[in-house]
Amino acid sequence: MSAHAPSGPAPQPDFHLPAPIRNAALACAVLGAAAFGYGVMSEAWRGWSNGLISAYYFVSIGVGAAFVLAVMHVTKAGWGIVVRRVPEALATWLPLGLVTLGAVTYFGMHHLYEWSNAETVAHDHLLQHKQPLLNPAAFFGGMVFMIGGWAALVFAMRRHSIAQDTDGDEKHTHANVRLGGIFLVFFGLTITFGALQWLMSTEPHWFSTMFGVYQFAGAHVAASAVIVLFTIGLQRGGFLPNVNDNHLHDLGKMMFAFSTFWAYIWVMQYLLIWYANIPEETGHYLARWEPDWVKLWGLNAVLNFVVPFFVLLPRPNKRNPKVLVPVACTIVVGHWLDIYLQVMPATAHLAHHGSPETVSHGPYLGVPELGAFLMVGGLFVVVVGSMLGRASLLPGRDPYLMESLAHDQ
Amino acid sequence: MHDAAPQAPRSFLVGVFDDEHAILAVTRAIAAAGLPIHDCFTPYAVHGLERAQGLPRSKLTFVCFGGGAIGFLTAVALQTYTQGIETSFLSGWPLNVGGKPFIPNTAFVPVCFELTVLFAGLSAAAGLLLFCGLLPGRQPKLLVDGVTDDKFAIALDTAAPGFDEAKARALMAAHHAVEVSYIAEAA
Repeated sequence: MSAHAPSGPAPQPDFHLPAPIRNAALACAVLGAAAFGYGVMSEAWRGWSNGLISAYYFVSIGVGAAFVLAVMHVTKAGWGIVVRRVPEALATWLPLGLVTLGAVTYFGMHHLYEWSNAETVAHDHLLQHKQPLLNPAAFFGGMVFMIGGWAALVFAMRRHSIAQDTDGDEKHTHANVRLGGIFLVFFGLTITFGALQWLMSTEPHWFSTMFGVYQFAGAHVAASAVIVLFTIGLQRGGFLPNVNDNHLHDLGKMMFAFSTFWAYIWVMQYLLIWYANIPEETGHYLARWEPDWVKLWGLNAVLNFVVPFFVLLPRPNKRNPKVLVPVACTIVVGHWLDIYLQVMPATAHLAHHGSPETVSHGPYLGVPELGAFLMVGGLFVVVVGSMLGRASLLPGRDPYLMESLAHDQ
Repeated sequence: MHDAAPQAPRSFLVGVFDDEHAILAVTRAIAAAGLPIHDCFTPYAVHGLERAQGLPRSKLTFVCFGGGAIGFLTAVALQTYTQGIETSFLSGWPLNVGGKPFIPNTAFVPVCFELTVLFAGLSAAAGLLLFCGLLPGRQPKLLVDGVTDDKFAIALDTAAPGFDEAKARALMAAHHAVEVSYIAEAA
Protein backbone atom coordinates (compact mmCIF):
# COMPACT_ATOMS: atom_id res chain seq x y z
CA MET A 1 0.00 0.00 0.00
CA SER A 2 1.69 3.16 -1.08
CA ALA A 3 1.03 6.19 1.05
CA HIS A 4 3.66 8.60 -0.08
CA ALA A 5 4.65 8.50 -3.71
CA PRO A 6 8.45 8.30 -3.49
CA SER A 7 10.23 9.04 -6.72
CA GLY A 8 12.79 6.28 -6.20
CA PRO A 9 15.15 4.62 -3.77
CA ALA A 10 17.84 6.52 -1.93
CA PRO A 11 21.27 5.86 -3.48
CA GLN A 12 22.61 2.53 -2.27
CA PRO A 13 26.18 2.62 -0.96
CA ASP A 14 28.45 -0.36 -1.57
CA PHE A 15 28.94 -2.59 1.44
CA HIS A 16 32.09 -4.48 2.28
CA LEU A 17 32.56 -6.20 5.59
CA PRO A 18 34.76 -3.71 7.49
CA ALA A 19 38.23 -5.08 8.16
CA PRO A 20 38.01 -4.57 11.97
CA ILE A 21 34.81 -6.62 12.15
CA ARG A 22 36.22 -9.32 9.88
CA ASN A 23 39.45 -9.53 11.86
CA ALA A 24 37.60 -9.59 15.16
CA ALA A 25 35.33 -12.36 13.88
CA LEU A 26 38.30 -14.35 12.61
CA ALA A 27 40.08 -13.86 15.93
CA CYS A 28 36.95 -15.14 17.70
CA ALA A 29 36.90 -18.14 15.40
CA VAL A 30 40.56 -18.96 16.04
CA LEU A 31 40.38 -18.42 19.80
CA GLY A 32 37.10 -20.30 19.86
CA ALA A 33 38.65 -23.19 17.95
CA ALA A 34 41.48 -23.30 20.47
CA ALA A 35 39.00 -23.34 23.35
CA PHE A 36 36.95 -25.96 21.56
CA GLY A 37 40.06 -28.07 21.06
CA TYR A 38 40.90 -27.67 24.73
CA GLY A 39 37.35 -28.72 25.59
CA VAL A 40 37.59 -31.86 23.46
CA MET A 41 40.96 -32.79 24.94
CA SER A 42 40.01 -32.22 28.56
CA GLU A 43 36.46 -33.58 28.56
CA ALA A 44 35.67 -35.13 25.21
CA TRP A 45 31.91 -35.55 25.60
CA ARG A 46 31.52 -31.95 26.68
CA GLY A 47 33.63 -30.60 23.85
CA TRP A 48 31.74 -32.52 21.19
CA SER A 49 28.39 -31.69 22.73
CA ASN A 50 29.22 -28.02 22.40
CA GLY A 51 30.37 -28.61 18.85
CA LEU A 52 26.96 -30.10 18.07
CA ILE A 53 25.11 -27.31 19.88
CA SER A 54 26.97 -24.55 18.06
CA ALA A 55 26.98 -26.19 14.65
CA TYR A 56 23.28 -26.98 14.84
CA TYR A 57 22.57 -23.50 16.21
CA PHE A 58 23.97 -21.77 13.14
CA VAL A 59 22.46 -24.30 10.74
CA SER A 60 19.08 -23.56 12.30
CA ILE A 61 19.62 -19.82 11.86
CA GLY A 62 20.66 -20.32 8.25
CA VAL A 63 17.68 -22.48 7.43
CA GLY A 64 15.35 -20.21 9.41
CA ALA A 65 16.54 -17.29 7.28
CA ALA A 66 16.01 -19.44 4.18
CA PHE A 67 12.45 -20.08 5.35
CA VAL A 68 11.83 -16.34 5.82
CA LEU A 69 13.26 -15.72 2.36
CA ALA A 70 11.10 -18.41 0.76
CA VAL A 71 7.98 -17.10 2.48
CA MET A 72 8.80 -13.59 1.24
CA HIS A 73 9.05 -14.88 -2.33
CA VAL A 74 5.97 -17.08 -2.20
CA THR A 75 3.76 -14.43 -0.64
CA LYS A 76 5.26 -11.75 -2.93
CA ALA A 77 5.85 -9.72 0.21
CA GLY A 78 6.14 -6.17 -1.07
CA TRP A 79 7.23 -4.70 2.26
CA GLY A 80 10.36 -6.78 2.58
CA ILE A 81 12.20 -6.02 -0.67
CA VAL A 82 14.54 -3.50 1.00
CA VAL A 83 15.61 -5.99 3.70
CA ARG A 84 15.55 -9.15 1.56
CA ARG A 85 19.30 -9.28 0.98
CA VAL A 86 19.83 -9.86 4.71
CA PRO A 87 18.04 -13.26 4.96
CA GLU A 88 19.46 -14.05 1.53
CA ALA A 89 22.98 -13.67 2.90
CA LEU A 90 22.24 -15.40 6.22
CA ALA A 91 20.95 -18.45 4.36
CA THR A 92 24.20 -18.78 2.42
CA TRP A 93 25.73 -20.13 5.63
CA LEU A 94 24.10 -23.49 4.88
CA PRO A 95 26.98 -25.13 2.88
CA LEU A 96 29.46 -24.34 5.65
CA GLY A 97 26.78 -25.27 8.16
CA LEU A 98 26.71 -28.71 6.52
CA VAL A 99 30.51 -28.93 6.86
CA THR A 100 30.58 -27.88 10.53
CA LEU A 101 27.60 -30.01 11.58
CA GLY A 102 28.93 -32.96 9.56
CA ALA A 103 32.40 -32.62 11.07
CA VAL A 104 31.38 -32.43 14.73
CA THR A 105 28.85 -35.24 14.43
CA TYR A 106 31.32 -37.41 12.49
CA PHE A 107 34.25 -37.00 14.86
CA GLY A 108 32.19 -36.77 18.03
CA MET A 109 29.60 -39.37 17.09
CA HIS A 110 30.33 -41.83 19.90
CA HIS A 111 30.16 -39.11 22.52
CA LEU A 112 26.89 -37.73 21.19
CA TYR A 113 24.80 -40.63 20.00
CA GLU A 114 24.26 -43.78 21.98
CA TRP A 115 22.96 -45.52 18.86
CA SER A 116 26.34 -45.21 17.12
CA ASN A 117 27.83 -47.75 19.49
CA ALA A 118 27.33 -51.22 17.99
CA GLU A 119 27.80 -52.95 21.34
CA THR A 120 25.08 -50.90 23.00
CA VAL A 121 22.70 -51.49 20.11
CA ALA A 122 23.34 -55.22 20.27
CA HIS A 123 21.84 -55.27 23.77
CA ASP A 124 19.09 -52.79 23.16
CA HIS A 125 15.97 -53.93 21.38
CA LEU A 126 14.58 -50.44 20.92
CA LEU A 127 17.75 -49.13 19.31
CA GLN A 128 17.80 -52.13 16.96
CA HIS A 129 14.26 -51.28 16.00
CA LYS A 130 15.25 -47.69 15.24
CA GLN A 131 18.35 -48.65 13.29
CA PRO A 132 16.96 -48.01 9.81
CA LEU A 133 16.96 -44.30 10.65
CA LEU A 134 19.61 -44.13 13.35
CA ASN A 135 22.71 -45.46 11.66
CA PRO A 136 25.74 -43.55 10.35
CA ALA A 137 24.91 -44.03 6.67
CA ALA A 138 21.35 -42.74 7.03
CA PHE A 139 22.55 -40.01 9.37
CA PHE A 140 25.21 -38.51 7.12
CA GLY A 141 23.45 -39.34 3.85
CA GLY A 142 20.34 -37.64 5.17
CA MET A 143 22.35 -34.66 6.38
CA VAL A 144 23.95 -34.13 2.96
CA PHE A 145 20.61 -34.58 1.21
CA MET A 146 18.69 -32.23 3.53
CA ILE A 147 21.14 -29.38 4.10
CA GLY A 148 22.46 -29.76 0.56
CA GLY A 149 18.93 -29.50 -0.77
CA TRP A 150 18.21 -26.41 1.31
CA ALA A 151 21.48 -24.80 0.19
CA ALA A 152 20.86 -25.60 -3.49
CA LEU A 153 17.42 -23.96 -3.37
CA VAL A 154 18.76 -20.97 -1.43
CA PHE A 155 21.52 -20.34 -3.95
CA ALA A 156 19.08 -20.79 -6.84
CA MET A 157 16.79 -18.13 -5.33
CA ARG A 158 19.74 -15.85 -4.69
CA ARG A 159 21.02 -16.28 -8.25
CA HIS A 160 17.66 -15.18 -9.68
CA SER A 161 17.43 -12.31 -7.21
CA ILE A 162 20.88 -10.96 -8.11
CA ALA A 163 20.41 -11.53 -11.86
CA GLN A 164 17.38 -9.28 -11.65
CA ASP A 165 19.59 -6.42 -10.43
CA THR A 166 21.18 -6.35 -13.89
CA ASP A 167 18.41 -7.25 -16.32
CA GLY A 168 15.32 -6.19 -14.35
CA ASP A 169 13.41 -9.12 -15.87
CA GLU A 170 10.28 -10.06 -13.96
CA LYS A 171 10.74 -13.72 -14.92
CA HIS A 172 13.15 -13.92 -11.96
CA THR A 173 10.33 -12.95 -9.61
CA HIS A 174 8.14 -15.72 -11.01
CA ALA A 175 11.01 -18.21 -10.82
CA ASN A 176 11.58 -17.33 -7.16
CA VAL A 177 7.90 -17.82 -6.34
CA ARG A 178 8.22 -21.36 -7.71
CA LEU A 179 11.56 -22.04 -6.02
CA GLY A 180 10.25 -20.66 -2.74
CA GLY A 181 7.24 -22.99 -2.95
CA ILE A 182 9.48 -25.98 -3.62
CA PHE A 183 11.70 -24.97 -0.72
CA LEU A 184 8.78 -24.67 1.71
CA VAL A 185 7.46 -28.15 0.93
CA PHE A 186 10.94 -29.70 0.98
CA PHE A 187 11.82 -27.86 4.18
CA GLY A 188 8.59 -28.80 5.94
CA LEU A 189 9.35 -32.49 5.42
CA THR A 190 13.09 -32.43 6.00
CA ILE A 191 13.30 -30.23 9.11
CA THR A 192 11.40 -32.92 10.99
CA PHE A 193 13.89 -35.61 10.03
CA GLY A 194 16.83 -33.29 10.56
CA ALA A 195 15.74 -32.30 14.06
CA LEU A 196 14.98 -35.92 14.84
CA GLN A 197 18.32 -37.31 13.65
CA TRP A 198 20.66 -34.55 14.79
CA LEU A 199 19.13 -33.48 18.08
CA MET A 200 16.41 -35.81 19.28
CA SER A 201 18.55 -38.90 18.74
CA THR A 202 20.92 -37.71 21.48
CA GLU A 203 18.21 -39.36 23.60
CA PRO A 204 17.43 -42.28 21.29
CA HIS A 205 14.90 -43.88 23.63
CA TRP A 206 12.85 -40.74 23.89
CA PHE A 207 10.42 -39.58 21.26
CA SER A 208 8.24 -36.55 20.78
CA THR A 209 5.93 -36.05 17.84
CA MET A 210 6.21 -32.29 18.35
CA PHE A 211 9.96 -32.20 17.98
CA GLY A 212 10.15 -31.24 14.31
CA VAL A 213 7.78 -28.31 14.61
CA TYR A 214 9.44 -27.37 17.90
CA GLN A 215 12.80 -27.02 16.20
CA PHE A 216 11.21 -25.24 13.26
CA ALA A 217 9.68 -22.66 15.60
CA GLY A 218 13.00 -22.12 17.36
CA ALA A 219 14.85 -21.76 14.06
CA HIS A 220 12.35 -19.24 12.75
CA VAL A 221 12.32 -17.00 15.80
CA ALA A 222 16.12 -17.10 16.12
CA ALA A 223 16.54 -16.32 12.42
CA SER A 224 14.10 -13.41 12.79
CA ALA A 225 16.18 -12.07 15.67
CA VAL A 226 19.41 -12.37 13.70
CA ILE A 227 17.78 -10.67 10.70
CA VAL A 228 16.78 -7.83 13.03
CA LEU A 229 20.33 -7.53 14.40
CA PHE A 230 21.97 -7.53 10.96
CA THR A 231 19.38 -5.12 9.52
CA ILE A 232 19.76 -2.62 12.35
CA GLY A 233 23.56 -2.96 12.27
CA LEU A 234 23.67 -2.28 8.53
CA GLN A 235 21.16 0.53 8.89
CA ARG A 236 23.25 2.15 11.62
CA GLY A 237 26.29 1.96 9.35
CA GLY A 238 24.32 3.77 6.65
CA PHE A 239 24.23 0.77 4.34
CA LEU A 240 20.45 0.39 4.26
CA PRO A 241 19.26 3.94 3.57
CA ASN A 242 15.89 2.69 2.33
CA VAL A 243 14.97 0.81 5.50
CA ASN A 244 12.87 2.76 7.97
CA ASP A 245 10.79 2.17 11.09
CA ASN A 246 7.97 0.62 9.08
CA HIS A 247 10.20 -2.19 7.89
CA LEU A 248 11.58 -2.67 11.40
CA HIS A 249 7.99 -2.82 12.63
CA ASP A 250 7.31 -5.82 10.40
CA LEU A 251 10.50 -7.54 11.48
CA GLY A 252 9.54 -6.86 15.10
CA LYS A 253 6.10 -8.34 14.49
CA MET A 254 7.70 -11.44 13.01
CA MET A 255 9.90 -11.84 16.08
CA PHE A 256 6.92 -11.28 18.38
CA ALA A 257 4.62 -13.68 16.56
CA PHE A 258 7.11 -16.51 16.29
CA SER A 259 8.32 -16.12 19.83
CA THR A 260 4.70 -16.74 20.82
CA PHE A 261 4.50 -19.65 18.38
CA TRP A 262 7.65 -21.15 19.89
CA ALA A 263 6.12 -20.90 23.36
CA TYR A 264 2.93 -22.53 22.10
CA ILE A 265 4.87 -25.48 20.73
CA TRP A 266 7.12 -25.62 23.80
CA VAL A 267 4.09 -25.94 26.07
CA MET A 268 2.24 -28.33 23.78
CA GLN A 269 5.17 -30.74 23.58
CA TYR A 270 5.24 -30.78 27.36
CA LEU A 271 1.45 -31.10 27.66
CA LEU A 272 1.19 -34.15 25.42
CA ILE A 273 3.81 -35.91 27.49
CA TRP A 274 2.35 -34.72 30.78
CA TYR A 275 -1.16 -35.95 29.90
CA ALA A 276 -0.05 -39.39 28.80
CA ASN A 277 2.53 -39.82 31.57
CA ILE A 278 4.37 -42.67 29.87
CA PRO A 279 7.81 -43.42 31.37
CA GLU A 280 9.55 -43.52 27.96
CA GLU A 281 8.47 -39.96 27.36
CA THR A 282 8.59 -38.35 30.78
CA GLY A 283 12.27 -39.25 31.26
CA HIS A 284 13.23 -36.35 29.05
CA TYR A 285 11.61 -33.84 31.37
CA LEU A 286 12.62 -35.57 34.59
CA ALA A 287 16.27 -35.29 33.52
CA ARG A 288 15.84 -31.56 33.00
CA TRP A 289 14.05 -31.12 36.30
CA GLU A 290 17.05 -32.25 38.26
CA PRO A 291 17.91 -29.39 40.62
CA ASP A 292 21.01 -28.62 38.56
CA TRP A 293 19.14 -28.08 35.33
CA VAL A 294 15.70 -26.86 36.29
CA LYS A 295 16.67 -23.21 36.62
CA LEU A 296 17.97 -23.15 33.07
CA TRP A 297 14.85 -25.01 31.97
CA GLY A 298 12.72 -22.20 33.36
CA LEU A 299 15.07 -19.51 32.06
CA ASN A 300 14.57 -20.93 28.57
CA ALA A 301 10.90 -19.93 28.60
CA VAL A 302 11.71 -16.50 30.04
CA LEU A 303 14.29 -15.67 27.38
CA ASN A 304 12.40 -17.06 24.42
CA PHE A 305 8.87 -16.09 25.35
CA VAL A 306 8.21 -13.94 28.42
CA VAL A 307 10.69 -11.17 27.62
CA PRO A 308 9.97 -10.88 23.87
CA PHE A 309 6.22 -11.15 24.38
CA PHE A 310 5.76 -8.44 26.97
CA VAL A 311 8.45 -6.10 25.66
CA LEU A 312 7.27 -6.27 22.05
CA LEU A 313 3.56 -6.08 22.85
CA PRO A 314 3.21 -2.26 22.54
CA ARG A 315 3.41 -0.92 19.01
CA PRO A 316 6.14 1.72 19.55
CA ASN A 317 8.56 -0.90 20.88
CA LYS A 318 8.38 -2.88 17.65
CA ARG A 319 9.55 0.22 15.75
CA ASN A 320 12.35 1.25 18.11
CA PRO A 321 15.83 -0.15 17.37
CA LYS A 322 16.84 0.56 20.97
CA VAL A 323 14.21 -1.95 22.11
CA LEU A 324 14.50 -4.38 19.21
CA VAL A 325 18.23 -4.97 19.63
CA PRO A 326 18.13 -6.09 23.30
CA VAL A 327 15.10 -8.29 22.63
CA ALA A 328 16.77 -9.85 19.59
CA CYS A 329 19.88 -10.49 21.71
CA THR A 330 17.70 -12.14 24.36
CA ILE A 331 16.25 -14.47 21.73
CA VAL A 332 19.69 -15.20 20.26
CA VAL A 333 20.89 -16.31 23.70
CA GLY A 334 17.60 -18.07 24.41
CA HIS A 335 17.77 -20.15 21.25
CA TRP A 336 21.25 -21.30 22.17
CA LEU A 337 19.97 -22.29 25.62
CA ASP A 338 17.06 -24.11 24.00
CA ILE A 339 19.41 -26.36 22.01
CA TYR A 340 21.84 -26.65 24.92
CA LEU A 341 19.05 -28.03 27.11
CA GLN A 342 18.23 -30.66 24.54
CA VAL A 343 21.80 -31.87 24.04
CA MET A 344 23.72 -31.35 27.27
CA PRO A 345 21.68 -33.32 29.84
CA ALA A 346 21.45 -36.18 27.34
CA THR A 347 25.13 -36.40 26.47
CA ALA A 348 26.16 -35.88 30.10
CA HIS A 349 24.04 -38.87 30.99
CA LEU A 350 25.56 -40.88 28.16
CA ALA A 351 29.10 -39.95 29.19
CA HIS A 352 28.58 -40.93 32.83
CA HIS A 353 26.35 -43.88 32.17
CA GLY A 354 26.87 -46.69 34.62
CA SER A 355 29.17 -44.76 36.92
CA PRO A 356 26.99 -42.41 38.90
CA GLU A 357 29.77 -41.55 41.31
CA THR A 358 31.65 -39.78 38.51
CA VAL A 359 28.68 -37.73 37.42
CA SER A 360 29.73 -34.12 37.57
CA HIS A 361 26.45 -32.38 37.84
CA GLY A 362 25.41 -29.67 35.44
CA PRO A 363 24.84 -27.13 34.26
CA TYR A 364 28.05 -26.90 32.34
CA LEU A 365 28.82 -23.33 31.45
CA GLY A 366 32.39 -22.32 30.81
CA VAL A 367 35.23 -22.11 28.34
CA PRO A 368 34.21 -25.05 26.11
CA GLU A 369 30.67 -23.65 25.77
CA LEU A 370 31.87 -20.18 24.83
CA GLY A 371 34.69 -21.50 22.67
CA ALA A 372 32.55 -23.68 20.44
CA PHE A 373 30.03 -20.87 20.03
CA LEU A 374 32.70 -18.33 19.09
CA MET A 375 34.37 -20.75 16.71
CA VAL A 376 31.29 -21.32 14.59
CA GLY A 377 29.89 -17.84 15.22
CA GLY A 378 33.07 -16.12 14.05
CA LEU A 379 33.02 -18.09 10.81
CA PHE A 380 29.32 -17.32 10.45
CA VAL A 381 29.91 -13.57 10.68
CA VAL A 382 32.79 -13.70 8.19
CA VAL A 383 30.83 -15.76 5.66
CA VAL A 384 27.56 -13.85 5.96
CA GLY A 385 29.37 -10.51 6.01
CA SER A 386 31.29 -11.23 2.84
CA MET A 387 28.15 -12.61 1.15
CA LEU A 388 26.39 -9.34 2.02
CA GLY A 389 29.17 -7.53 0.18
CA ARG A 390 28.88 -9.71 -2.94
CA ALA A 391 25.74 -8.01 -4.21
CA SER A 392 23.99 -4.68 -3.80
CA LEU A 393 22.06 -4.57 -0.52
CA LEU A 394 19.08 -3.21 -2.45
CA PRO A 395 17.34 -5.40 -5.04
CA GLY A 396 17.12 -2.26 -7.13
CA ARG A 397 15.03 -3.58 -10.02
CA ASP A 398 12.59 -5.76 -8.18
CA PRO A 399 9.06 -5.10 -9.45
CA TYR A 400 7.81 -4.63 -5.88
CA LEU A 401 10.53 -2.13 -4.96
CA MET A 402 8.29 0.93 -5.00
CA GLU A 403 5.75 -0.82 -2.78
CA SER A 404 8.51 -1.58 -0.31
CA LEU A 405 9.85 1.99 -0.32
CA ALA A 406 6.38 3.39 0.32
CA HIS A 407 5.64 0.85 3.05
CA ASP A 408 3.75 2.64 5.78
CA GLN A 409 1.80 1.36 8.74
CA MET B 1 -37.77 5.69 14.82
CA HIS B 2 -35.50 8.66 15.46
CA ASP B 3 -36.91 12.01 16.42
CA ALA B 4 -35.91 14.87 14.16
CA ALA B 5 -32.74 16.53 15.34
CA PRO B 6 -33.65 19.64 17.31
CA GLN B 7 -30.61 21.66 16.24
CA ALA B 8 -29.92 22.86 12.70
CA PRO B 9 -27.95 20.36 10.62
CA ARG B 10 -24.27 21.08 10.43
CA SER B 11 -22.77 22.09 7.14
CA PHE B 12 -19.46 20.87 5.71
CA LEU B 13 -17.11 21.98 3.00
CA VAL B 14 -16.27 18.73 1.24
CA GLY B 15 -13.45 18.19 -1.24
CA VAL B 16 -13.51 15.06 -3.37
CA PHE B 17 -10.35 13.52 -4.83
CA ASP B 18 -9.51 10.72 -7.21
CA ASP B 19 -6.66 8.91 -5.51
CA GLU B 20 -5.06 8.24 -2.16
CA HIS B 21 -1.92 10.28 -2.81
CA ALA B 22 -4.05 13.38 -3.34
CA ILE B 23 -6.13 12.84 -0.18
CA LEU B 24 -2.98 12.30 1.87
CA ALA B 25 -1.26 15.37 0.48
CA VAL B 26 -4.28 17.63 0.89
CA THR B 27 -4.97 16.36 4.41
CA ARG B 28 -1.39 17.11 5.41
CA ALA B 29 -1.60 20.56 3.81
CA ILE B 30 -4.90 21.41 5.49
CA ALA B 31 -3.67 20.20 8.87
CA ALA B 32 -0.47 22.19 8.43
CA ALA B 33 -2.50 25.30 7.58
CA GLY B 34 -4.33 24.89 10.88
CA LEU B 35 -7.79 24.37 9.40
CA PRO B 36 -10.13 22.16 11.46
CA ILE B 37 -10.63 18.76 9.78
CA HIS B 38 -13.94 17.07 10.53
CA ASP B 39 -13.11 13.70 8.95
CA CYS B 40 -11.82 11.91 5.87
CA PHE B 41 -13.75 9.31 3.91
CA THR B 42 -11.99 6.70 1.80
CA PRO B 43 -13.06 3.43 0.16
CA TYR B 44 -10.34 1.53 2.02
CA ALA B 45 -7.84 2.13 4.82
CA VAL B 46 -5.25 4.60 3.55
CA HIS B 47 -2.06 4.09 5.54
CA GLY B 48 -0.80 7.23 7.20
CA LEU B 49 -4.08 9.11 6.88
CA GLU B 50 -4.86 8.99 10.59
CA ARG B 51 -1.47 10.56 11.31
CA ALA B 52 -2.03 13.18 8.58
CA GLN B 53 -5.36 14.04 10.19
CA GLY B 54 -3.64 14.32 13.55
CA LEU B 55 -5.93 11.78 15.20
CA PRO B 56 -4.84 10.59 18.64
CA ARG B 57 -3.65 7.01 19.06
CA SER B 58 -6.47 4.49 18.91
CA LYS B 59 -7.69 3.19 22.25
CA LEU B 60 -8.60 -0.10 20.63
CA THR B 61 -5.33 -1.69 21.74
CA PHE B 62 -6.25 -1.16 25.39
CA VAL B 63 -9.72 -2.61 24.81
CA CYS B 64 -8.08 -5.62 23.19
CA PHE B 65 -5.56 -6.04 26.02
CA GLY B 66 -8.29 -5.65 28.66
CA GLY B 67 -10.47 -8.20 26.86
CA GLY B 68 -7.57 -10.62 26.79
CA ALA B 69 -6.86 -10.14 30.48
CA ILE B 70 -10.53 -10.71 31.35
CA GLY B 71 -10.53 -13.82 29.17
CA PHE B 72 -7.49 -15.17 30.96
CA LEU B 73 -9.02 -14.57 34.39
CA THR B 74 -12.32 -16.06 33.26
CA ALA B 75 -10.56 -19.21 32.16
CA VAL B 76 -8.67 -19.53 35.45
CA ALA B 77 -11.83 -18.92 37.48
CA LEU B 78 -13.99 -21.27 35.42
CA GLN B 79 -11.52 -24.13 35.58
CA THR B 80 -10.56 -23.69 39.18
CA TYR B 81 -14.20 -23.59 40.22
CA THR B 82 -15.43 -26.51 38.12
CA GLN B 83 -12.40 -28.63 38.94
CA GLY B 84 -12.22 -28.34 42.63
CA ILE B 85 -13.59 -25.42 44.56
CA GLU B 86 -16.57 -26.22 46.75
CA THR B 87 -18.61 -23.30 47.98
CA SER B 88 -21.62 -23.29 50.21
CA PHE B 89 -24.15 -22.44 47.52
CA LEU B 90 -22.68 -24.17 44.48
CA SER B 91 -20.27 -27.01 44.38
CA GLY B 92 -17.74 -27.75 41.70
CA TRP B 93 -17.31 -31.20 40.28
CA PRO B 94 -13.80 -32.47 40.99
CA LEU B 95 -12.83 -35.20 38.52
CA ASN B 96 -9.99 -37.62 38.81
CA VAL B 97 -8.38 -37.48 35.38
CA GLY B 98 -5.51 -39.89 35.06
CA GLY B 99 -4.53 -39.36 38.68
CA LYS B 100 -3.66 -35.72 38.05
CA PRO B 101 -4.21 -33.12 40.77
CA PHE B 102 -7.70 -31.64 40.95
CA ILE B 103 -6.39 -28.20 40.03
CA PRO B 104 -3.72 -29.03 37.46
CA ASN B 105 -2.18 -25.74 36.32
CA THR B 106 -0.62 -27.46 33.35
CA ALA B 107 -3.95 -28.57 31.93
CA PHE B 108 -5.27 -25.04 32.36
CA VAL B 109 -2.79 -23.62 29.87
CA PRO B 110 -4.64 -24.40 26.61
CA VAL B 111 -7.99 -23.18 27.92
CA CYS B 112 -6.42 -20.00 29.33
CA PHE B 113 -4.71 -19.42 26.01
CA GLU B 114 -7.85 -19.98 23.97
CA LEU B 115 -10.12 -17.83 26.14
CA THR B 116 -7.51 -15.04 26.18
CA VAL B 117 -7.39 -15.06 22.39
CA LEU B 118 -11.17 -15.36 22.07
CA PHE B 119 -11.95 -12.50 24.46
CA ALA B 120 -9.20 -10.29 23.04
CA GLY B 121 -10.44 -10.86 19.49
CA LEU B 122 -14.13 -10.38 20.25
CA SER B 123 -13.55 -7.31 22.42
CA ALA B 124 -11.39 -5.75 19.70
CA ALA B 125 -14.13 -6.36 17.12
CA ALA B 126 -16.85 -5.06 19.45
CA GLY B 127 -14.70 -2.06 20.41
CA LEU B 128 -14.13 -1.23 16.76
CA LEU B 129 -17.87 -1.24 16.03
CA LEU B 130 -18.53 0.83 19.14
CA PHE B 131 -15.84 3.42 18.38
CA CYS B 132 -17.07 3.70 14.80
CA GLY B 133 -20.66 4.12 15.97
CA LEU B 134 -21.74 1.08 13.98
CA LEU B 135 -24.37 -0.05 16.45
CA PRO B 136 -27.18 -2.39 15.38
CA GLY B 137 -29.99 -0.59 13.61
CA ARG B 138 -27.91 2.44 12.83
CA GLN B 139 -27.97 3.53 9.22
CA PRO B 140 -25.21 6.08 8.70
CA LYS B 141 -25.77 8.56 5.91
CA LEU B 142 -22.90 9.12 3.54
CA LEU B 143 -21.77 12.69 3.06
CA VAL B 144 -20.57 11.95 -0.44
CA ASP B 145 -21.53 9.26 -2.89
CA GLY B 146 -18.60 7.26 -4.17
CA VAL B 147 -16.46 7.17 -1.01
CA THR B 148 -17.31 3.49 -0.71
CA ASP B 149 -16.35 3.04 -4.34
CA ASP B 150 -13.50 5.05 -5.87
CA LYS B 151 -13.63 8.54 -4.36
CA PHE B 152 -11.63 10.06 -1.50
CA ALA B 153 -13.20 12.92 0.42
CA ILE B 154 -12.19 15.32 3.17
CA ALA B 155 -14.81 17.26 5.14
CA LEU B 156 -14.26 20.52 7.02
CA ASP B 157 -16.79 21.68 9.59
CA THR B 158 -17.84 25.17 8.54
CA ALA B 159 -18.91 26.06 12.09
CA ALA B 160 -15.62 25.04 13.72
CA PRO B 161 -13.29 27.79 14.94
CA GLY B 162 -10.48 28.52 12.52
CA PHE B 163 -12.47 27.59 9.43
CA ASP B 164 -11.39 29.68 6.44
CA GLU B 165 -13.29 28.93 3.28
CA ALA B 166 -10.99 30.72 0.86
CA LYS B 167 -7.88 29.03 2.22
CA ALA B 168 -9.51 25.61 2.21
CA ARG B 169 -10.80 25.97 -1.33
CA ALA B 170 -7.39 27.12 -2.53
CA LEU B 171 -5.63 24.11 -0.94
CA MET B 172 -8.18 21.68 -2.35
CA ALA B 173 -7.87 23.16 -5.81
CA ALA B 174 -4.07 23.02 -5.58
CA HIS B 175 -4.35 19.27 -4.94
CA HIS B 176 -6.63 18.70 -7.93
CA ALA B 177 -9.95 18.26 -6.20
CA VAL B 178 -12.49 16.91 -8.65
CA GLU B 179 -15.29 18.56 -6.72
CA VAL B 180 -15.61 21.02 -3.83
CA SER B 181 -19.03 21.73 -2.40
CA TYR B 182 -21.05 22.56 0.70
CA ILE B 183 -22.93 19.60 2.02
CA ALA B 184 -25.34 19.67 4.93
CA GLU B 185 -25.23 16.69 7.28
CA ALA B 186 -28.24 14.50 6.67
CA ALA B 187 -30.47 14.37 9.72
